[in-house]
Amino acid sequence: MTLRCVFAVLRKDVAMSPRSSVFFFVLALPVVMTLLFQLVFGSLFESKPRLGVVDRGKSQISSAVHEMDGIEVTVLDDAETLMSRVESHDLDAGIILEPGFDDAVMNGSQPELGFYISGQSLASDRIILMVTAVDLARGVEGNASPVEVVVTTIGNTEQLPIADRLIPMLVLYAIIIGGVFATAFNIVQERESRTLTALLVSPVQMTDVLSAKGLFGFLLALVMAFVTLGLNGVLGANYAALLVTLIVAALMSVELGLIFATASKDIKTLYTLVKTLNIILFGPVFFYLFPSWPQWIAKLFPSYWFFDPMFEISLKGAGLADVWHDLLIAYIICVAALPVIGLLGRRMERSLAFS
Amino acid sequence: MSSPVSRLSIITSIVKKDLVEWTRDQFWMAVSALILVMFAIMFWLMPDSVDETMSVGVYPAALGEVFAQAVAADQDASGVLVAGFDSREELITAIEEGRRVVVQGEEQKIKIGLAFPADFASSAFSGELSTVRVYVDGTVPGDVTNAMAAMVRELAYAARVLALGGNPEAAFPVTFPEENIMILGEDRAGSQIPFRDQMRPMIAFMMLIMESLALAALIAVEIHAKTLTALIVTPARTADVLWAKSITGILLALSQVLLILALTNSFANSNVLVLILATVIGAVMATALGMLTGAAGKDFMGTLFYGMLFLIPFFIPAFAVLFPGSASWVVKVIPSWGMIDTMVNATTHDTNWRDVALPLGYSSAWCAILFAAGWLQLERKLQTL
Repeated sequence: MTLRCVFAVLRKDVAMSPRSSVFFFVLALPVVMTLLFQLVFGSLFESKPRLGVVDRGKSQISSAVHEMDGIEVTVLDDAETLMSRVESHDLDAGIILEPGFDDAVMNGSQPELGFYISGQSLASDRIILMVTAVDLARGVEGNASPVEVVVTTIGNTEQLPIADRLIPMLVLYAIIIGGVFATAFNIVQERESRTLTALLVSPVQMTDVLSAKGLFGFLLALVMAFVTLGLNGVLGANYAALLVTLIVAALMSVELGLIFATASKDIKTLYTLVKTLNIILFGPVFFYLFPSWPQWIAKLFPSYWFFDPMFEISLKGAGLADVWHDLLIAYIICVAALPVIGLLGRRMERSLAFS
Repeated sequence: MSSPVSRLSIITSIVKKDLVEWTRDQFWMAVSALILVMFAIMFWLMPDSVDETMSVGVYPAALGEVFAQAVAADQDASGVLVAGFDSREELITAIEEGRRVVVQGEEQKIKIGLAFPADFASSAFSGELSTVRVYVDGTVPGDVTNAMAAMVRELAYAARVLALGGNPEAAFPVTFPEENIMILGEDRAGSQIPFRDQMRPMIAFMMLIMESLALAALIAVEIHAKTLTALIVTPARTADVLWAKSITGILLALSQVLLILALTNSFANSNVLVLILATVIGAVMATALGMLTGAAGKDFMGTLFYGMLFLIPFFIPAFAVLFPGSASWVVKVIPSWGMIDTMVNATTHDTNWRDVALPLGYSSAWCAILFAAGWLQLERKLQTL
């Protein structure tokens, strides 16, 4: 392997990349995925109870309800719309405040509160919304509570919301797209269009080509991982630890990309491999989303060993001292993969020579 | 001179050739089977029920029953399960350690604890202010904590009225007349559709997407390798090649989706015919997109790029069904919505043909448009080769 040849191939790839659709994928998909998760799907896993309010008088409740923590409030103009939206489960429940409601509450005449529940709402949401409605009426009543309630948070205070736990998945996605996808497709595409064969009759050797393609994928994966973390606002304070982790992550993904590229005889085989790869590499993510699953299974996936440190550093503020042992295992996996890449690379070289 | 070959036998030969080529590729067969099994395993590992209750620990234990009665007459339907604790320390430890306790015959993790003072009842009688501590685990959302605090306050109001010899219901600032507390729509309390079941159409659609891209790749590779050019200088006409590719695409997509639906037990308790028809429409749509994108891309990556442009928006309805409520009009105009909506209805609700006529008709119309577009695009490509 000669560094001059490696950089010559790398320079060519960098110069050609803006014309390549792979490059577009690498740049665009993590950003698109971040937007989708942050704007749309983030709320899927931790949905708040949704309450609709129709205020026929000018009740204090309709302004107080907006200040309630953890409840999504929609103010509607008429009862028909409210009932229709509750029925179709666009709202979990709805209340209708008649004219004079506040006065009736204040003079203790216990006015009727129209309360509609969606049949599809969760039992827990129903009780939360009903109690909230009563509590709002208490606020209108204005009497001092006969009891002082002191809330103390104990136990598991470090549990992250699921929306946050999804962020490392987005980073993993960026790493896979850059490291595996771009690297592998770049090589197989050149193999199919025979530019690789042409290159090999020059002073450039197979190891130079694989190193250059790997280096390009590595840089793409590393940069896009940082970009994705930045877009999601979880770069954290421990940049050095994060950099080390992402280097190992990008290295492993590039090695996988090289294995897939050298093992695939054509695009179809590579595509089939990529289809499988998505689940194998994304495996650990599902165990983070569903903590009740047996967690030891996650450790069977090679990506776990960089995914967990990435999770701990970016979201929990861990340092290198906390995660070095996991990173070491990831690094050992990377080293163990090198002979496999070497063997497959030589096999591909022979196959190209015969073709 | 040999007699002319029928169009049907030409089409059948090309389909056979394509299918044999796919099945001879043992690697492709093995990996495809592996993917199906992996999707099925993932499906079965997902929780099969919806936890719609809050488990609350109450100290002293005797007040637990009072609290449960105050929350609702019928505890099973109230969404709150109450466990009594004999000491405050025991209650705090249970929350801190995430300990599971048996509540009404079920093992539950207590995440909320209410510790009432020993003089709660006497304070209510005398009108003195007492202090109740609400202990919550860090994962408990703010709305639940607020609701718990409000429940405690209501209990105190009721206790005061009761201590003064009144009816506890008179303590409420409002009344909920039975006719006004209306449950609109089918009441699913206690029988919510698990997230896993709602994911079935998404899994099926993911298989369709993969097969659509696989067909697109096959077409792109055949164009690139000029095997399609070779085909059309044989007695096969362009239309024969197009029919053959369409049939191959539909067969591949349909077989895998039906298999994944069977592996996820989707045919049990569902309208099988409706589900199969929706799957067929999905397979035709995936094939049409495969033809469209396969012919549009210059190479595999170009094909994948065009494929993604179509398939990401097509995937939105499959995600949208996971959200509560009805889909917005933006989701409903996406061609795949009708097919996915039908799949959801067929697998999770008692559905009949009338319920799904509109979404199925809508998807069929889109299917015809996309198929025509795919056909024309590929035909034009073949003629320019």
